[in-house]
Amino acid sequence: MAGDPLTAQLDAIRAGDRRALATVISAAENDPRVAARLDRELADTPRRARRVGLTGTPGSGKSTLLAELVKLLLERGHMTGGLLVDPSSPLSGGAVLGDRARLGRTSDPRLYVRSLGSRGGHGAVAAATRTAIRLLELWGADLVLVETVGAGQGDVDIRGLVDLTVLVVPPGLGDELQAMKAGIMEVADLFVVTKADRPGAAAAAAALKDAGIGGRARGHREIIETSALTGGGIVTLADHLMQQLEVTAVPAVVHSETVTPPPPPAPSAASGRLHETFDLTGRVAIITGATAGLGRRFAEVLHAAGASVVITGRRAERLQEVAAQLERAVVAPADVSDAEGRQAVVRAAIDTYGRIDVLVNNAGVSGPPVPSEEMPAQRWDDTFAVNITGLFEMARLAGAQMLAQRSGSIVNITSVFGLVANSPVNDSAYAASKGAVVNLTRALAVEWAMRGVRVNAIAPGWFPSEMTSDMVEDESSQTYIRRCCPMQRMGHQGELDGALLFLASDASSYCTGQTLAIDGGWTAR
Amino acid sequence: MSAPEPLVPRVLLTKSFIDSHDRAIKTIALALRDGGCEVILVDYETPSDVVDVAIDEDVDVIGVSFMSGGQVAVTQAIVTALGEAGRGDLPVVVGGTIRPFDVDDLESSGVRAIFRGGEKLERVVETFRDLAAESRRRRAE
Ligand SMILES: Nc1nc2c(ncn2[C@@H]2O[C@H](COP(=O)(O)OP(=O)(O)OP(=O)(O)O)[C@@H](O)[C@H]2O)c(=O)[nH]1
Ligand SMILES: [Mg+2]
Repeated sequence: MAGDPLTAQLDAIRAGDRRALATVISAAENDPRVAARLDRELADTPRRARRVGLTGTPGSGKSTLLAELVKLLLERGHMTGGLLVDPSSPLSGGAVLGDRARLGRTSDPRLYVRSLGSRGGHGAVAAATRTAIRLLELWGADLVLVETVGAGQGDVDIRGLVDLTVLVVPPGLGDELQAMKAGIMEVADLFVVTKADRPGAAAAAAALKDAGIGGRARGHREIIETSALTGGGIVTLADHLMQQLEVTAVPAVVHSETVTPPPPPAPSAASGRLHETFDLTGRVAIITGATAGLGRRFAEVLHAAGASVVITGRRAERLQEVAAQLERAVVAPADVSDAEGRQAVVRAAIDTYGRIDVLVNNAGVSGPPVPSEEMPAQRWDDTFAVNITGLFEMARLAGAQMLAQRSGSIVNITSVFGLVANSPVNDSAYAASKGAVVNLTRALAVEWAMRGVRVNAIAPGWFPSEMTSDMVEDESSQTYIRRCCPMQRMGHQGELDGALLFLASDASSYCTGQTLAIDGGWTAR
Repeated sequence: MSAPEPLVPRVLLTKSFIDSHDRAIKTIALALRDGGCEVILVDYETPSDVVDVAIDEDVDVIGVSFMSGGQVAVTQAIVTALGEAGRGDLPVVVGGTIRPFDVDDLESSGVRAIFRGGEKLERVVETFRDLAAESRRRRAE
């Protein structure tokens, strides 16, 4: 029917509108006639989701397990739906839908989770469960997980709704297991013993070995022990589910791309081709403060490793000079302490190359030594505006794109003086701002660790640059360096290349939140 | 045509994940359940989490419980985020440790009811049910 509100809402769901999805699930819950109509209309849509049911006695650990699975599925790129059924009170019709509390934070564009009261549905599922699964498929979920209300032995209806039924068994369920044998034990396709960190888990697993044949395949069922506490068994379980469901390929990440996305780091034997993990071919990197010195070098190094670079800095002509030497470079002049400038840089990267894989937050300022008691307020503010606020805002803007891609590496350039005091070259504003970068690096790293974005920092010691040019020839400066630096010299140009390439590339795929001091041993004593 | 199913109000009850005190919020949850409501109970990390869950769960009312801090700032952030998400119509109710000097700011930020403790549970349930019914009606229009 054209102009029919439900049809319009279904179109919206098909286009990915989660608000319409939520509303229509409610409509199905509230009115069985709506549910029946939806079932009819959605019967012909090509089925797109694999469905897994988690069932088991109350408190067996279903929600906790589902939470762990969801995390892993999102990480692997699945559009995931979760339906969490909790019991409705037969007296009041109300319900405390508590499963969701176990999931923690669920804000993710690829995840839709919905709590359902059983509302008199049979066999530990809600009457609207089937319809809700269909709607999730229409929305685009390729995996749907359904948690039943704490089920008893006879609650086998879940089997008719899903492709795989997982029976969740907590430790210490000896006698109950016996009692369950006839019902839910028979239809389970897989047994998971949860809380494997607790005593009695091995005994439960052993007891399940006697369950005999059953499940869809009328065969022996796998028994997997998991612990949400240690994370043990979760990957094994996910892999087993995927294999059983014959899920081979994960749908591609949706984003506008003109450059090939980076392949995931493949497990490989150590060989003569180890340097390939440092390869940046096809990657897109933004380098701030790239007009001269370290920043210019960083752009050249990433470019030499294969990346296309977007270089920014305040002096446009200098950027043009740098870009003229490079094959794949875009110039985006901007001051990182200026909001519009920052946005323009990130936009230039996305408009030109369609993605951002690396951000080198290099721009930074310092001033002549000044005793703290005489630090001008303006100097303090200006230092922070560039060294920390500008850096954070760049990380946020580029990070948003990286999070959408579910991959990216941010390299913040701090300083040894973010790790130790810079006496006698007093600049407390510089030291404080660089110290802030070290811990901001940790904070962002932990926040984004599960979302494909790594954040690390390099803390250079004294290197020749515009900022330090007067030190190179100055004898007292050199005496100071000889006294404080175990290697008794400044860094040479090129001595940051390795650290940068390591942190920017897949070579550091398991490294996040770290600050690598490249300082001739300055901070080692 | 048969009569439509009776309304089952859906309520989101939430508190900060840092707040370990959950006696109050659980008491309200059980009272609402016994009053025929479906209650989604979650902890939030950021105010925008509350909005995301409220939308996905298609709730009719949001109740935010406070024990330690953030009463005014968090409530304002939630109300603002709801507006930005186009759901400024969703009623927000706050409860728990609400200091006297927070009341004016909370009221002017647009919360529909404030429970500072000591109210009869029936009153609380009735308020949630009324707000839920009103919110549904407004959305149906
Ligand atoms: N030690 C330990 N405790 C766990 C583990 N998994 C779950 N739990 C605890 O077991 C209790 C019940 O977990 P839930 O995940 O809520 O169990 P459920 O089966 O979803 O419960 P209902 O939905 O109420 O039937 C909680 O207190 C969890 O913290 C685990 O792997 N190890
Ligand atoms: Mg549960």
